[in-house]
Amino acid sequence: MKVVKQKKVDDCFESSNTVDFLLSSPITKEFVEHLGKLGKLLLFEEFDIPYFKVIVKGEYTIKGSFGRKTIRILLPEDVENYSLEPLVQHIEHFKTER
Amino acid sequence: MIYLNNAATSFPKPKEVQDAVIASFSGPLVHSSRTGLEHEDDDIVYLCRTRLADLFNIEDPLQIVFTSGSTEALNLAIKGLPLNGSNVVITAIEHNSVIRPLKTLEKEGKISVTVVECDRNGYVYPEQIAQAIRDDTRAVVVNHCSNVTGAVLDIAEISKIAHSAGAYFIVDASQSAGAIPIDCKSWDIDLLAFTGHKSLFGLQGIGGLYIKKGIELKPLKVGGTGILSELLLQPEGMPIHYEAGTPNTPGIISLYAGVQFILQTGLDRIIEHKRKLYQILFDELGDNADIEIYSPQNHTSYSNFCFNVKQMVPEEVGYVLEASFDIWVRTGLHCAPLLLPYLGVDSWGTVRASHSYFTTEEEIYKFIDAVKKITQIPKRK
Repeated sequence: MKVVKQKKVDDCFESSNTVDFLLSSPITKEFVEHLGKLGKLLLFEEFDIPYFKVIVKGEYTIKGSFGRKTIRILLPEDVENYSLEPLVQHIEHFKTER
Repeated sequence: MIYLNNAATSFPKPKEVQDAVIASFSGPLVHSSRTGLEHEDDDIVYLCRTRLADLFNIEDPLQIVFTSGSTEALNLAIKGLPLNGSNVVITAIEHNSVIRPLKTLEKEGKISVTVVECDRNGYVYPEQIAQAIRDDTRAVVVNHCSNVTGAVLDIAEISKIAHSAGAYFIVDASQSAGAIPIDCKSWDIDLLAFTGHKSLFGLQGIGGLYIKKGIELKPLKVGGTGILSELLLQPEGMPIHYEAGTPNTPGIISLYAGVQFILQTGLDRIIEHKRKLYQILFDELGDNADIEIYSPQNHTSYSNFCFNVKQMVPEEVGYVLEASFDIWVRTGLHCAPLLLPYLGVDSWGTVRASHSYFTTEEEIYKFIDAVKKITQIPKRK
């Protein structure tokens, strides 16, 4: 999986420090489980399109839905220039072909 | 996709509107009266004014000026009136299209602004407006229908109050035009701003301002009018005095078709359909302990269902509705920043689901089911 594009989300009320990642492939359950290794995974499979949140305590929260290519990352409000590189690397370690 | 953001822009449009807009591209968008009168009765721009006059009970259609929407119409009304040195009374449910022009004038030291509070559903009691009026109040500006909660104000009563104080009475009908009855004549409205792209089913970029006869505004813009080109100053007649520049003819065509649809369908029928859906929302979610509803059950347009899932950020509710249920709503402050404290919500705002005549019961039940599922998400606040 590749992170194709990163975009800061303006006017996001959940966190003023929010970034969207556009991914190279649609989100699968396996990819969500891969993200879940980073923290606590909340998965709502009974939703029409399953929804997930990965809460990395003290760091950030990732959320998204199966089948889409975008995940949203809610970063701590009070940290400027938060490095997302470790998260990008974790995502790119996931092999979409397997 | 289930579209519940009609308070922002209506979707879908009636087929008649879609057909009219597409047809507008099959010929030149200029009037054809230069070589004869045979097409005068087909002048779509005039016809649109007449249908709007029918819908809003306006005696002379030429008192309706086309604008790019409510924001321009309200700017024309507010900046065009001689308000310098006076006080202007508004309500807590106003949209930024009213707040910002007035606050800008206030910042420039030209006027003062008094804000009248509302109740927890966004309703403003006329007597509170009466109490807020001062000796130097020269205008009362009110939102007919809250774009957040859908609360509808008593325009007839507020008009009497404003006029008894010698103030101009300006009505923002952005949400009410095409949604509920408007009677400019009986309610004695001085200036009524409306937009075409919400309940009137037109395109974005078209709206208008009704100006009661006898009221003169300073135009926001002057320039070409297509006629009377020998004049070096803006022509004085209505509505051309306020309509400099090439008109938005595709927008006017869409608006005409939209208003025709409403008149032919019947506003009562449209309201009844929305009332039925509104009642389903209250029946299904009204007693849900996880949900806080801000929309009123009375004094309402039956169009907006404004709520929060308790202890959840509204933006997350909207995100999940769209990402996992393909349901489009609006979250946040809804461009009405003065309202939030009265609703008892924090700076995150609310979720607003706004249905239309084209929303089905099945869609509403899917929305209800989705909201109930979302309440299962662990709370973060």
